[in-house]
Amino acid sequence: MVTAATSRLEGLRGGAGFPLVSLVLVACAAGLLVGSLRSATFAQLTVQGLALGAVYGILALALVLVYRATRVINFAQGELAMATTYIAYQLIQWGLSYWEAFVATLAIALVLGTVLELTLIRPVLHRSGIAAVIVTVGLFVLIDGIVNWIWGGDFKSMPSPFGTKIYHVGGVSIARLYVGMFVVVVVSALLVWVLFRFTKLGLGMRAAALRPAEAALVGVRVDWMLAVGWGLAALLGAVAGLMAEPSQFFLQPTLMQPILVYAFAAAVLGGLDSPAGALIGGLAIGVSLNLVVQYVPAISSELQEPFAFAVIIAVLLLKPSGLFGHQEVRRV
Amino acid sequence: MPVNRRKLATLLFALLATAAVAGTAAASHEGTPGVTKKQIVIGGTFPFTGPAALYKTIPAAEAAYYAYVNSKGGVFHRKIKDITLDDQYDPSQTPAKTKQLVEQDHVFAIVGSLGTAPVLSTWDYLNKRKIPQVLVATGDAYWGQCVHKALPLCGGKKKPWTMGWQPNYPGEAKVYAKYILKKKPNAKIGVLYQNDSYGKNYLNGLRTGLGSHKNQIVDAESYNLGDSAQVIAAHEVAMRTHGADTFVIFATPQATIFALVDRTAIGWSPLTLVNNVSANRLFELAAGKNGADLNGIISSTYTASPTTQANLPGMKLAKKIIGATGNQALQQSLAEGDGNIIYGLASAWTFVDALKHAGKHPTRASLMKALRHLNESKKNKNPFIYPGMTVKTSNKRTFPMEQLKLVKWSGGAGGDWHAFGKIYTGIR
Repeated sequence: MVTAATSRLEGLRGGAGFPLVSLVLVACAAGLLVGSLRSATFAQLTVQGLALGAVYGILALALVLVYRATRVINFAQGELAMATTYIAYQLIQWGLSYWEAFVATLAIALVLGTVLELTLIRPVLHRSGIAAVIVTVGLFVLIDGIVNWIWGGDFKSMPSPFGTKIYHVGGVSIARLYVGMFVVVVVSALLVWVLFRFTKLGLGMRAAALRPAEAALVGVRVDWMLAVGWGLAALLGAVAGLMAEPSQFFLQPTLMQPILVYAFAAAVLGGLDSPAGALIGGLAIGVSLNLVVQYVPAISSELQEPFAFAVIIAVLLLKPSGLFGHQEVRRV
Repeated sequence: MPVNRRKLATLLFALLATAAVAGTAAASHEGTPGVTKKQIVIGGTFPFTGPAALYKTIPAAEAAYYAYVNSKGGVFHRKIKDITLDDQYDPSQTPAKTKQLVEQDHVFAIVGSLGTAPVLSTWDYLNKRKIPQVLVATGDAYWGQCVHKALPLCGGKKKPWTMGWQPNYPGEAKVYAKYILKKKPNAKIGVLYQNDSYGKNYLNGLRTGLGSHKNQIVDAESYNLGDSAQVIAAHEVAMRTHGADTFVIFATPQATIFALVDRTAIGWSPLTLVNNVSANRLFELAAGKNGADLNGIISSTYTASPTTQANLPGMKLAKKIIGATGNQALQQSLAEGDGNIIYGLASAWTFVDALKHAGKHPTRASLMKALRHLNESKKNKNPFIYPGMTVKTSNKRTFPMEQLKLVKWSGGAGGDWHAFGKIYTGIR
């Protein structure tokens, strides 16, 4: 029974046009490589774009997990990530080392996300999806207020997780920080993928998200699975916050606000229900923002955020399911 | 019920009349808003939070100085009460906060409000009402140039009630131009400037200072307040691509720190100059902690240094005053060389100096007159400014501080600014 469900779910993932998208991606990657070999400036911008794009990607992945679980866009995802970063800051203040605090924070985030789903989202979710979205907007304001109330609005400094070493490769300088950010994000994403793909919990979560009624019939505790989905999203958000902080050198309540915009663009670009799409979308947004600002004279740095918004609009108009999302087919 | 209603109306009228009479009586008794026999109330707006929050030690130091003066009996037995509000360095918030200070708190004067754009957003309002807006914490040329003349940059009207304190930014930029031309005559200059009047005025000052050499600016890139470190890095990559070998930063502290760290991170090592607003040892230490290579960076100063000149009487006094606040974070900032604390003390010193000269019964006009005739030299020396410099004004000289000294960073990530060369005068 369960295996049958799995194969049906697998069947849902690949849509038509998938090979074409892969082809385009390979072409883009090749383009980046050639460009980087030809120009040090190009390579420099690509490296930075990849590091920051990884952070956009992991936050986008959090958005996607929540969307898959509850069909809700969580506007508070960025603020939640910021708040958990403050928790890490506090733990470090209390004497934990950076990586101890990192692990502890992920655990706290997991619980926090689950509890939020149980207490604030679930009660309104069965009434309407819009109500839940509005609750997340409220959460945004609430979390921002609470953080300002507890820690104040001024700058906090956290120890640097990867040191300040810089590698020089050809004409390109690669900060260890960038390598570290990239690796941590990719490893976190891989772990989540393993969880979904190879564990019973993951299978239950996928089933609960895609076919709640059937999943319930085969004994999956759907409600519980959705809450854990929120918890996992909060955990990934915490990774995003903890990796965004060293890249901005300071912790402040506005840490994730610009990043959330790019994460939305990444999630929409990759397809709101595609985890892999979110990550690839994040990298694509990170790199293209950096390159576009440098090489397209009409787009200056003031237009970075509008550019991300333009991506959202363009995707929604031309290919609403994103690069990797599957189109919803309804029988009428 | 008509009788009752009439009764009510009479009662209301009586109440209103009493209130009105009482109001006039109070006003005529007090004379000047914010001034009573025992107290003088002033106010200002500052960024306690937001992207310019690194400036918040300025109002803290000013409050500490007023507390010190109050502990010695105040000025003519009046204690100074300073109400500071947070506008987040956001000119869309400053007007409401300033109105609150004027219309609800009835302040005597707006003192020390911080930021070019915030101050510009309120100077029409305050000048129209003849309320002093003085010792503003921004060095733009507006505050001195608009006293007597209604230049276009003054919004077409004179602004006699507004006044700055620190050396003006375009003048400072001209000093850097001189230094670059002397040190590196063929410099190819890249400029990073904040995309507002603050950054643009600095850039214009640099252009003026370079004169016929201004085409040596090969790339001028603007950033926006709140931009991420990556945006700043992208600008630097662009400048390097344009061949810049000299890097001038006209930014606010957060962006300056980003720029210094990113400069090292992208492996670029041009001759680097930062404006004195960002040449606060704390900011450079923060940049150094994040990996910035700092040696040889040039900037300028007009206040004494709490670290390299700790033995000056003024710096000892600073330590005492900040120590008396019991605020440990502030004390630590001072010990690490937060020049903004010295700035706050110095500017508060000037305000108290002016208040002493505004007479036993100060009015807004007498305060302005005193501020237009400052002479902080000899026995009346401002202990917090750089030794050998003078705060001075007259009807003609409308910029209180017109001197600067260049400083250079040495000692790496834990180093400090060290002054060198002559005192530049006539900074305008």
